Amino acid sequence: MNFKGIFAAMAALAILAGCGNDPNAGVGAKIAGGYLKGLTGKKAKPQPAVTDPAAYGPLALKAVKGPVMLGVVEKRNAVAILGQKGRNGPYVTWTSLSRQTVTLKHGILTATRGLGDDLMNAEVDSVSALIRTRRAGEANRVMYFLDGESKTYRLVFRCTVSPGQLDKLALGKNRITARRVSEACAADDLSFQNTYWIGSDGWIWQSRQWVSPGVGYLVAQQLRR
Amino acid sequence: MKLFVTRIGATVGATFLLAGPATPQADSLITDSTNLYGAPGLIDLPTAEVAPDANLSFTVSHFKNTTRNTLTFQITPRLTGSFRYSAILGYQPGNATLYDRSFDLRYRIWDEKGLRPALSFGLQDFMGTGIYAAEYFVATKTITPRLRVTAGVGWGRLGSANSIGSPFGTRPPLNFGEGGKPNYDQWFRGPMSAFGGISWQATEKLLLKAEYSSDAYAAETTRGLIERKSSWNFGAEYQLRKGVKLAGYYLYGKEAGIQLSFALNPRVSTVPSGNETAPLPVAPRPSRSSNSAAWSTDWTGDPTVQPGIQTATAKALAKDGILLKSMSLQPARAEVRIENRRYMSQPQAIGRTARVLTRALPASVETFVITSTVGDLPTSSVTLRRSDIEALENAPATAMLARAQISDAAGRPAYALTPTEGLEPRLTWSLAPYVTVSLFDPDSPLRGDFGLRARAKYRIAPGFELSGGIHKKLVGNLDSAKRLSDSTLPHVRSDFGLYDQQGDPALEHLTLAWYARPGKNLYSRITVGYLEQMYGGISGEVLWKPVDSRLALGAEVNIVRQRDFDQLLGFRDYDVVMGQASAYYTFNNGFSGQLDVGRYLAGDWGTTVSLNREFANGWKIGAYATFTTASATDFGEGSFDKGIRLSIPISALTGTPSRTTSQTVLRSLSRDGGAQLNVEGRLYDRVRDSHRPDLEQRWGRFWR
Repeated sequence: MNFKGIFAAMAALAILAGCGNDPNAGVGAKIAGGYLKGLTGKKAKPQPAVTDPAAYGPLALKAVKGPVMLGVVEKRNAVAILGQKGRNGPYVTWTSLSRQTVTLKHGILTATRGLGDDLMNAEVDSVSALIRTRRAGEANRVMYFLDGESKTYRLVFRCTVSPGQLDKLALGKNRITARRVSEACAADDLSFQNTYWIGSDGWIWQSRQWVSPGVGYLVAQQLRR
Repeated sequence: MKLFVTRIGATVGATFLLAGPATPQADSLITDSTNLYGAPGLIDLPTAEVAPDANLSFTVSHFKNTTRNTLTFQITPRLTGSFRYSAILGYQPGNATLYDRSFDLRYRIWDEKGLRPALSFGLQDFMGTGIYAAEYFVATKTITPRLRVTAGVGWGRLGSANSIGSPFGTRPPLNFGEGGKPNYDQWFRGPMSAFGGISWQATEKLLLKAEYSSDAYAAETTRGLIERKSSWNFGAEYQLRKGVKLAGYYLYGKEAGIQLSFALNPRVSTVPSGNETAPLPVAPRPSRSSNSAAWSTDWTGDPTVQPGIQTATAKALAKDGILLKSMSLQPARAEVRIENRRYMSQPQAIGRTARVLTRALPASVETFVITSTVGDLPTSSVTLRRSDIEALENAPATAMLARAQISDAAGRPAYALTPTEGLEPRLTWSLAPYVTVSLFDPDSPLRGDFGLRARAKYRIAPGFELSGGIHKKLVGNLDSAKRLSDSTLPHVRSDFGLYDQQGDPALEHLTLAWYARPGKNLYSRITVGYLEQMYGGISGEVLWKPVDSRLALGAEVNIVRQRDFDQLLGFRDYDVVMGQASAYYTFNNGFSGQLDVGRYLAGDWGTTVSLNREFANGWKIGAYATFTTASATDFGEGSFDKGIRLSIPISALTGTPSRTTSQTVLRSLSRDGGAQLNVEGRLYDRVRDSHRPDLEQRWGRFWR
C-alpha cells in the first residue's frame, strides 16, 4: 500500500470532513479527534492574558445598558462583560455575549451555565444572612453539580464567615467604601474561601466566589447597579 | 484595581483539580496500572487490585516474540473483564504466528479491612484455545500508602513453575473443539504454585514493581521463543499524562518488555456539564393582581396570535437544536411537539423548551405539555405546571422531576396541533469520510478501508422516511482478504470478503420506512427496500413499551433475500423468513439486558443474550452471545457468535453537545450461525430516550 497516497487522501478529506445538513455525519473522525485532543491536552486556544480587568470597565459601561458586571474566571484568565438577562424572584441571571450565564441571589452565586463544570444550583440563605449583615458566624451551604456521568451530586459545606477591613473600591463611575467579608468553607477534601466587598447598604459590589472543582474562582465586579 | 490583578496572578497556579465528584471509595486498593495482560496487576501477574469503577483501558505490551493487545473494563467495582488479542511469533508449526483471542474475568471477593488483605479470584483465558489459561486466588495488602504487597496461588500457567502439588487433582487435557467455550473442566485443576510481588509508588508518576512469577512459559521455551532464566521480573511504569502510561520491564532474567496503556473512564469528564451555551432563563409572569392585563385571554379571539407565538418559539428552539414540529395553544394549556436533535439528555431538551415557553406564551397558559418525537413518532409527553417551572428554576432538578407527569403520547391529541411550516428541511443529507476496520483475520489481523460516504433522508409524509446511502472506497485493503468461506451453513455472512471486494461503489441501503403508533404503548415500523449491505426485502417490527415501564417487548419479522456481492440492485438466490421476539429490561443499577428468541439468517433457531452497562451521559459498554441450532462444527472457529459492544457518545468526549454516538462491535470474523439482520431504525432505541427510566437517569440536566 502506498502510505503517501493515504495521507494525501486523508488530508484532502479532512477539509471536507462532514458536509451536508445532517449533524450526525462523520462521527468516527470527530470522536478520534476528540480523544486525541484530550490526550495532547491542547484545549481551546490560550486566552490572551488579562492584564487589567479594569481596562474593560469603560467598554462594559458602553456595551451594556442598565446594570453591568465584569466577570473573571481566574483559572482561565478570561474576562466577560455581563448584562442582566433574567430575574426570577431574588435570583438574577447575568449573561455574557457568548451566552454563558451566572445567577446570583442577593449577590451570592447560586448557578452558572456554560462554564464546562457548572454550579447547577446552591442553597446559600444561611451563609447569605451572615455575609450581607457583615456578621461573624458559622453556617452551611449546599452546592449541586453534575458529575462526569451527568448525574447530580451535592456537597454540603461548613462555612465560617468573618468580616474584615474596609477597602476603597473604584467600580465604573462609583467610588465605594466597602467592608471585606470572607467565607471559608470546607467539605470532605474540598475547601475554598470566598471574599465579598459589601457596601454600607448591604449591597455586594465585588466578590470572588468559588464555582466548582473544574472552574475554580469567579470574580464579579458590579460596575453599574 | 491593582489588588485585582495581583490576585489573578497569584491564583493561576493554584490547583483545584481535586478528585471532584469521585465516588466515595473507602477502599484504597484501586489502581490504573495494568500488567502485561492488560489487567490491573504487577508485571506478568495479577493482584487483588481493581481499576476505578467503569474504567476502560487499552494496553499494548510487547516482549520477545509476544504482543498482547488488551481491552479491560471494570464492569462493577468488584468485577473486572478483559478481552485480549495476542500474537506469538513462530508459535505454530512452520514458524507461523499464532493469533489468539482470550477473555479474562476477575472478582474481588472481599475488600481490604484492617489487617485483612483484599482477596480476588480470577479466570484468565478461560475459553477457547486456552494458550494463557490460568486460575488464581490472590491477596493484596497496603503496607504504607505507597507500598502494596501481593501473594497468591495459581493453576494452569500460574501453576507451571515451582509447583507445590495438585490439591484438586490432575488437569484434564484441553477439549478444544471449535474453541470459544468455557474450559470449566480444567479450572483449578493440576499443579498449583505460589506467586507474589510488590509495587511501590516511588513518585506521583513513577511506579516500581517486582514480582516472583509462577509461570514457566513452558510452551514458549520448548519452542525456543523465550528464554526463562529466573522467576523474577522487575518493572518501572511512568505516567506520561493522565490516563497514558508507559512501562518497561526486565523479564525472567533475560528478556526486555515494553508496554503502553490508555485509560478512559465514562464516569469522568473534564467538562461534566458540557460546553453548550446557557439556556434562556425562565421569565416568570407578573402577578395577576399587579398586571391583570397580562393575564387576559382576549388574545384567543385573534387568529394572528398563535402563528406569531409559534414562529417565535420555533426560532428560539432552533437555536438550541430543537425542532418545534407542531403546537396547540389554548387559554390555559399549550402542547408542543419537539424533536431533540442536539442533546444526549432528553430532559435537557425538555427543560430548554419549558424555559423558552415561559418567555413566549401568554400568562394565562398554566399547563405545558411537551411531547417528544423521533421523526414523526410521538414517544412521550411530559406535562409541567408553569408555576412549578417558575418556582423551581433554582432548585435541584429532582424537585422538578417530582412535579413532572410523564405519559404516553399515543392517539389523537386532545387539541388539534398546528404543524410548523418551513422550519425543517424535508431533505437532509451528508457527505463525510468513513473508515471501516476488519479485525482478527489470521492472515492480516487489521484491515481497513477509507473512503467517502453520502447519505440522504427525505420525509415524504408524516411517518414516512425515504433513506439511502452509498459509499465509495478511496484507499484500503479490505478487498485483500483471500480466505473464501468454507462454511457448511448457507453463506449468509461469511462471504463478507466478496462483498468487500466487489462493492465499490456500494449502495449501503435504500429504504422506505413507515413509523406509526397503532395504539397506546405500541409502536410499529415497516421498512422495505435494500435494508443493509447483504440483504434486501421487507422488515416489520412491533414494540410494546409503556412509558413508565422498565420492560419492553418486541417482535420483528423479516422476509429477505441476499444481495449481490457488488451491492448494487441485484439479488442472489438465497432468501429466508426470519426474525426474533425480544424482551428488553433496564435495571435500576445502570445495567440493561436484552433477550432475543427466534430464527436467524441461516434459518437456524436460537437466542441472543445481551448485557450492557449504561451511563447517563450516553456511554454504553456490553457483551452479547448468540446460541442457535447451528452446531459448533457448523459454526466453525469460536463455536458460537459473541462479542463486545461499545457506544461512545461524542458529547462526553468533546464536551460539545451532540446525539451522535460511535458504535463499535468487537467480535470474531463474521460467521453464518446466529447472524442477525442489520436494519436501521429499530424501535426500542428510538423510543426509550423519552420514557421514564431514561428520563429519570438523565434528569440532572433538566436545568442545563
